[in-house]
Amino acid sequence: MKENTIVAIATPRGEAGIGVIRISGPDAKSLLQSVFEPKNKKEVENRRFTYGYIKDGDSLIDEVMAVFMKGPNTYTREDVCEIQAHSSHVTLKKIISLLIEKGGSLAEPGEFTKRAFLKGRLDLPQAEALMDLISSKTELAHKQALKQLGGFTSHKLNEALESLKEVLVQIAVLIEYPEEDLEDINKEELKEKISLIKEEIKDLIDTFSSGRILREGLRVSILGKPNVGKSSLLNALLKEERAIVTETPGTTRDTIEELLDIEGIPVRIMDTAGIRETKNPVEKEGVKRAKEKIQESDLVVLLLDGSVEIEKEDREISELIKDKKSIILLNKRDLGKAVNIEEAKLLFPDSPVIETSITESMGLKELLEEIGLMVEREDAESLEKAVITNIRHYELLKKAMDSLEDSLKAIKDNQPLDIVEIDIKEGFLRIGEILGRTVKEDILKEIFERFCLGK
Amino acid sequence: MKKTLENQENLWLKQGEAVDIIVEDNKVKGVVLKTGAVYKAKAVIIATGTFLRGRIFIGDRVFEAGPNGLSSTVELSDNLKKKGMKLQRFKTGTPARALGKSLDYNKMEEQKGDSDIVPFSFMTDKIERDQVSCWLSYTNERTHEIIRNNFEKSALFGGQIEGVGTRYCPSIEDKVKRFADKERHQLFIEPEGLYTDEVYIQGMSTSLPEDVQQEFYKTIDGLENLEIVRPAYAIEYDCIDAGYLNLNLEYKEIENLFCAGQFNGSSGYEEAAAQGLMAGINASLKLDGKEPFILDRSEGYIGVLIDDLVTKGSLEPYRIMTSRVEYRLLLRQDNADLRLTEKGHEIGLVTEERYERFKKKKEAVLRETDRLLKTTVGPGEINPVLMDKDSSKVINRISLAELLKRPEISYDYLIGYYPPKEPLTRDEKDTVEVNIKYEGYIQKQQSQIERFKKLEGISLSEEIPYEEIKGIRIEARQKLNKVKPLSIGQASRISGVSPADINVLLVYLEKRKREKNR
Repeated sequence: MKENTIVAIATPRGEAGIGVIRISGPDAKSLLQSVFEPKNKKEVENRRFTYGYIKDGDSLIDEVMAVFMKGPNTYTREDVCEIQAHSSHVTLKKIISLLIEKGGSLAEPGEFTKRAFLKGRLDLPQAEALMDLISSKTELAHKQALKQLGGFTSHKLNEALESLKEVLVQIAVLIEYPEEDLEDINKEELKEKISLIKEEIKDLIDTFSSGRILREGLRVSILGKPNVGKSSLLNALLKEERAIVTETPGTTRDTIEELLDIEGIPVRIMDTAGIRETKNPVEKEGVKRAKEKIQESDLVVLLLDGSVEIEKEDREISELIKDKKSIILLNKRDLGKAVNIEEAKLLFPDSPVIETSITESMGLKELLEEIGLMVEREDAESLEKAVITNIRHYELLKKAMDSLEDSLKAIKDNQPLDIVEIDIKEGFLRIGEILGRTVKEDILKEIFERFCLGK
Repeated sequence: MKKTLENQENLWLKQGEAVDIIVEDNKVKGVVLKTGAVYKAKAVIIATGTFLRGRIFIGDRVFEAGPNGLSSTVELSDNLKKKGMKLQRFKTGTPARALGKSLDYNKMEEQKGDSDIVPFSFMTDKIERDQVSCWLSYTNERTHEIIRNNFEKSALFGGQIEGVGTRYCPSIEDKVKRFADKERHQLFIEPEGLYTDEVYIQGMSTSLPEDVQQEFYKTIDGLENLEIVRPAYAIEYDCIDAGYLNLNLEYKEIENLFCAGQFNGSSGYEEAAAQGLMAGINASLKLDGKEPFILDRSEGYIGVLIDDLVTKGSLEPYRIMTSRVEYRLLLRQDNADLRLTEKGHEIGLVTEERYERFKKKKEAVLRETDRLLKTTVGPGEINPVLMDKDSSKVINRISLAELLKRPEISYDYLIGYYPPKEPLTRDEKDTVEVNIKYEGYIQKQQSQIERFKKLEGISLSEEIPYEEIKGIRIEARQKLNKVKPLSIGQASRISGVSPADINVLLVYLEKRKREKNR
């Protein structure tokens, strides 16, 4: 039997010029060829770097260097390919998802090394390390994956799981107990139900490469009292002077939007007018608009003047954003430290607090990291509901959808329920896997809970 | 059947109540009967059914007994415990037996037997005999009311029963309680035999007192004048957790001691028969010093049954279900002989006559499949045939096999126009038709089976110090230590053992192999 061909991002996350994707297994070469187009349209040669493009059909994803190495003189002793792509995590994920779509399987933690060891490479001490790595990393990966599954997504998946279970129980009862006087399944209803679930799953899958955040950017608004340094922050982020900065409070009347790229995630920064109650009609309009912007944003960066005591206005602002994801900046630290960091944390218990001095470029890097984390890590889902960011989830959802599609075809072809059930069950099991649950026994359990059966 | 056994060469039938087993150096040596007689034996099979410390419950009447008025065995249970066996209590039940002539059949729906009887054995071509009907009736609100009013008299609800019951055959009071909104429950009147008037009231087992049974049975249409021969009862018995067995049904701690049937925590006749057969085969192979005979999950329902029992353990009475079978498209009754005859022949359980028959069938199936694949027909002649079945027309020549894949075209319809040289038997037809019609699905399952077999093929038979393998999570280590799986495949089915644990185990095996070779 043929071993499957595994794919994974081989380089660590973070700032780097390139990122490497590794492919290993009997289909490594054909898998590479299914996404890679050499510039000169020549064949990919053994152990020769080739320049070309990663393409999804006609659309260009990245400009890369790729190499194919015939086994057994490779790391895993299998055929291996490597793609050197640009290191934006989004691009790398996109390439991986494409490879999965073409038949690759996502590698388990330590799987390349495991294969290397099982095929006779590596020495014994390395095996010990590998055994530790497999268990700890896998557990961690699973925990993280589950965490990444936002509340909305897991809610959707649970719903899909329940609907599929209901269908499966209905079918199973008919198969197991033909002698009971049970209602037959209406094929049209069945088709409709499964189509609906399939569509939901498809919507989730679509968010993997084109979720709103990735498509439109993370909407961040900058908030703070007048003259606390909002525009300076924006300018520092953009590294160019776009917003007008003056010494008089209340100069930035309109809101301005700018686009940044943080770790490949488009971030849309909305500089907002300083929030304060005012009688000036022009300013009043600006404040009103700022409040609206808060509602629309995914993340609020709140600037406090760290050189003076926390004022009433700051407390009012904290009220405004209490339901929002936020990052708190204690700015103007170069001018003095009237507010200490614990005090600020007390006021904003759920938000990270960073000490900054925009004019001195202090704390900017931390802020960027914090924004990056917000998007990349578990918060991505609460910011953007129903988005799939984990590649493993993508892979399982894809499999589930394919199975449901097969089942719909079987229903259309008038296949008996015995046959239809096989594909539905396959989809059911995959969704259970995403949710980290073993659902195999659930159907039998449900049958006897729901139906009065047996001699 | 008894005659067949009596005529079996080298088989001596003895009857008596076994009260103890003799064990020396963790090896079984024989059995002791109640009379004091000792039978020395190289292998022993325990198949105690529901007799082991059997206890019957009818309302508040509780007494030690086996089923059907036979006595239970308590001594054996005590002695097995002394040998270190951990016994648990399971429970099952049976409905009342009644006199057929006391029933009014006009008030019930007749359930005729199949007009075309499918023989159980592949050695039988056809069965022609008059069949006796079963009768269908229903409980009603009055039945339920009587049962509800007497809930507290049921031994099941009274708390006297400690045994774990089966989900698959609930008693009638269970049904009424758990499915309170169901207006009626169906029941079948089944004749107990051709030479008796006794009937079995299927679907109506209970542990309510006899007078209450009398009362509620009589509320049912057709049962108004019912005469009970024997009342329904619940029975509780001792059994083991099958997790203590190996896949050849040998008890892990005592060599050459095999176990089968309800004693292993299963429920049901077929389940028991299948294990009896496998325990017998394996006891005999063991004594001959041969490899155990183990069917895996891709080879038969027996494989699924035993693997489930042994790998997952029996915490409640186990029943085989289609839903438990992963590769059920391949495990069909029409191809049971094609799957298993060769294996049976290898261990000497298949007669030459049966083997010849099997070879003939295999050939016939191949020949006919080949013919359907190779015979092509043109649009001119086939389109009218297709039109009769509302099947879409073809433009080019097409093979008969391709046509047979259409759901609306059956094998019988097709051969009406294109008959084979020699007609096929029912089983042969079924096999040919299913294999072609569901080819895509069968191939999918076949490739799943290949993957499955690969893991099944990595042996874990040596003693592996699971407790010492750090990379495996603690819960998994404990489970592996208890089950002591024979293969990586079996290990992967133990609940609480994750794919990561399996990967660590694979690396460990390779590491150990290399250390040995150094």
